[in-house]
Amino acid sequence: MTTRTTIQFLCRVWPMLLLALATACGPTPDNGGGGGGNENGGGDYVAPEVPETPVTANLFRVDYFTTLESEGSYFVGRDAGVASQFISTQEAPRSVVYMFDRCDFTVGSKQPAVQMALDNKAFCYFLQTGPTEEQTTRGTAAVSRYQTSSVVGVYEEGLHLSGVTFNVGLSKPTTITLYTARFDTTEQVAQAVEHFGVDWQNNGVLVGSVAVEQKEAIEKWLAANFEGYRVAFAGSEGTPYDVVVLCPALMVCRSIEPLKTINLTYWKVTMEKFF
Amino acid sequence: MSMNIKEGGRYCGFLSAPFAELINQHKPDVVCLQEVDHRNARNGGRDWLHEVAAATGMMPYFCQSMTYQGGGFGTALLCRYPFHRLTKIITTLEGAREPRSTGWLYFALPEGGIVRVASTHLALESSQMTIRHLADVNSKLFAEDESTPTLLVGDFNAAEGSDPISYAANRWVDLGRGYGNTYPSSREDITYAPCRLDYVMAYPKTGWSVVSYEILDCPELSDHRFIVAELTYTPNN
Repeated sequence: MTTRTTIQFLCRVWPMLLLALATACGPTPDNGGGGGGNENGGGDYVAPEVPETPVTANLFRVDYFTTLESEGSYFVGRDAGVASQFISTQEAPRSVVYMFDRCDFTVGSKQPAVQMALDNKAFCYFLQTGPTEEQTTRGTAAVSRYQTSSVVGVYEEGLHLSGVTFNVGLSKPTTITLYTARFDTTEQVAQAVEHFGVDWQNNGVLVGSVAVEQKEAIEKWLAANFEGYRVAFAGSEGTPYDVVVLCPALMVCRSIEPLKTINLTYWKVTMEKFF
Repeated sequence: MSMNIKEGGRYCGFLSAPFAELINQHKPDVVCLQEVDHRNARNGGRDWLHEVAAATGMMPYFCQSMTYQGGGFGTALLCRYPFHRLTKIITTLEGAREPRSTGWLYFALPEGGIVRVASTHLALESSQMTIRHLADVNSKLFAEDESTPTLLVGDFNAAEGSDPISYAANRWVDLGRGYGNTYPSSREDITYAPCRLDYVMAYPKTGWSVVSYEILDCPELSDHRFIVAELTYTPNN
C-alpha cells in the first residue's frame, strides 16, 4: 500500500471538508431509512465557520489503526505487542482512544486488546461491525485509559455499529461518544443516521471506513438528508476503503494524518470541540 | 454464571487464575461478578478482571462502584461473545454505606436472538434499602428497554421469602428456586445460617426454562457459592 504524504492528503481532505460545509444544509433526515436521498435541495442550516487557529485545550485525538483493506484481521502478520508499546510510550498529547479496525473477536481466544489494556493500565472495548459468529466476529477493538458507563449500539440486518462514551477533559468537561462502522452502502448510512443522527449532531464522532466506490454517493446522501454535521475523508491509493470522520457541526476534524509505527499503519485523527 | 468473589478474591490471595480455571471448566456465555477490585492497594494493583478475560478469552467490562484504595471496586461482567451495547448505573442511597453499581450488556447469540444480562450487588443495610436499590435498578433497566429478554444476576443480599425477593417478583421470575442455598460456602470460619443470597432473575416472567442450575461450593475462593445456570428462552407469541 502506498500512503500519501500528509500534504497531499490535506490537499485532498480540505476541499472535501469545504464541500461538506457548503452542502451540509440538507433537510431533516429521512427517517424512513431510504437510501437514494431526496431531491429537496438545500435547507436553512449553515454550519458555523471553522476558526483558522485551533484552541489547543479543545483538541482531542483518536488513533485509528487500519489497513483499509476488505478482508483479514489487522493483527494477522502484525504484532499486537508493537501496538501495546506504542500506546505505553506515546507522549503527550495522548490519544483518547486507540481503535484497531478488524481486530476481530475470536471466541475463547485472548483478544489482543485485552493484553493491551493489561499492559497499559487501560480498558478495552470491542465495537462489533459484523454479525455475531460462532467463532470469529468482525469488529474494531478500542483501548482507552478512560472508563465508560455506556456503549451504544445497533445490531440489525445490514448494520452493526457501536460507539463508546467517554468523559474527556477539554477546556470544559465534555462527553463524547466515539463510534465506528464500515460503510459499504448508502443504505447503511441511512440506517445509521436513523439510529444515531441526533447524537451525530451533538456529541457523537464516527471514525470508520467507507467503500471508496460508494463515497461520493454517501456524501451526496448526507448532504441531502442530514444536517448539523461535518464530514471528512482520507485515503490511500489502491485500497478499497477510505477513512471517514463524521462529527457534529460543533466539532471539526482538524486533520487525518497517515502514520506508521514499525509495520502498523494508522491514522491520527485530530478533532476540535467548539464551546 | 454468578460469582461473588469476596473482596476482590481475598481468600486466594487476589489471584485471578483459580477463578479463570473455574470459568474455563464451565464455559459460560456470561459471568456476572461482584466485589471485584481494580488496580487498588488491597489487590496489589492488579487488573484482576482483564487477567481473567485474558485467560478465558472473554470480553470484560468493569462496572466501578467507587474508587477504593487508589483503584476501583465494583461489579463486572465477562462475555463469551462481543457485546454491542452496555450501560452502567450507580445507585447512591441515602443512609447506604457505599455507592453500588449495576452493569448490563446486550449480546447477540450466533444462532440468533439478543439477550441482556445485568450484574448487580444490592444494598444490604436493611430490607427497605435493598428494595429501594432494586427499584432504582428496575426503573433504569426498564426505562431503557422493556422488550429484550433480560437476566438480572448477582448478590441480592436478601434471603428467599424476604421482602426484597417478594418485591423482585413483581417484575422478575426467580429461576433458581429449589436448587439450594448460596451462602455461606463451606468455610469453617463462617457460621451464618444457610440461605440464598445469589439469584438469577429473568424478565419477562414467562418463556424461560432451566436446562440445568448448579450451585458450586468453592470455599477456597469465596464465602458465597457460585451459580452456573443453563437457560433457554422461547418468546411468547
